[in-house]
Amino acid sequence: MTDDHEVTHLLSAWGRGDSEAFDRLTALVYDDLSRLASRALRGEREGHTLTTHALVHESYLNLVGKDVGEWENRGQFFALAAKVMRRILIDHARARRAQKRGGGQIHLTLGNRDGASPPDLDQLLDLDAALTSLAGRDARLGEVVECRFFGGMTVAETAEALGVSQRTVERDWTRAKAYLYRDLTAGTATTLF
Amino acid sequence: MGDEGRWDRIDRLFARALEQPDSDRSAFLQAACRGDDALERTVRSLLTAAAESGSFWRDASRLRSSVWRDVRSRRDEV
Repeated sequence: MTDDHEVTHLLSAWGRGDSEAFDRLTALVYDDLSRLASRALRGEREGHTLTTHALVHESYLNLVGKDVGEWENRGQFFALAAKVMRRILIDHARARRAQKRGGGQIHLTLGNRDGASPPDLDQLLDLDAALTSLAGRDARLGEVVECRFFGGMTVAETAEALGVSQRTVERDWTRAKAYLYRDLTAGTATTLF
Repeated sequence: MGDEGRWDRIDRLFARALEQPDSDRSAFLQAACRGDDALERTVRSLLTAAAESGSFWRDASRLRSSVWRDVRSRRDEV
């Protein structure tokens, strides 16, 4: 279906601003991450906590390969994978909410593994919407949140993904968290973005 | 939606205020805002938000994790 070279070429094209390459990459990474996520279910990795972070790493190896010569694409790939992770989570939350509203026979067992109450899907969708607004003000703040929150990436990985210093990531992350928190907990009258 | 210039000013000031030691922030803001009370109030509220947003983000991470667990275990149904 795909080979290492295709993804490498697409990453380069995206880096030059080719939006078709971005769409194609997104589709490839979306499929790969979804496949990896559902494979976990079939017990191949019993006992492992397959975090978003772990899957992003695995998908990188799948799609770009182990070739050390490709390391310069790694950051770029991670930035994309964080966006895709966000999309997978949000698509899923939307589908779940629709299912719930449809009043079907499906029992929501979200979060039940440890007896916790079901997660508030609206809260995650609100956060997604607030993030889109914030990114409209400052694109990099948005990307930092995608990497740190949706991609589960470390400060160092986020810095690599976005081509900025770790110090910059830390500063952006602190401000972005405050903006989103304020936007989501204060009334709309005081919204900043 | 505020205007573009206002947002940039708030963001720059907020970033600089965060760089100051806690004890110097008040004096820094007063000097930097030069009587623009609304600006000073906004940046102060952001400093408060930064200080108290910890548990909100811990909850948000848990929420993300539980949706993620659900992605993994229920893909076929959705």
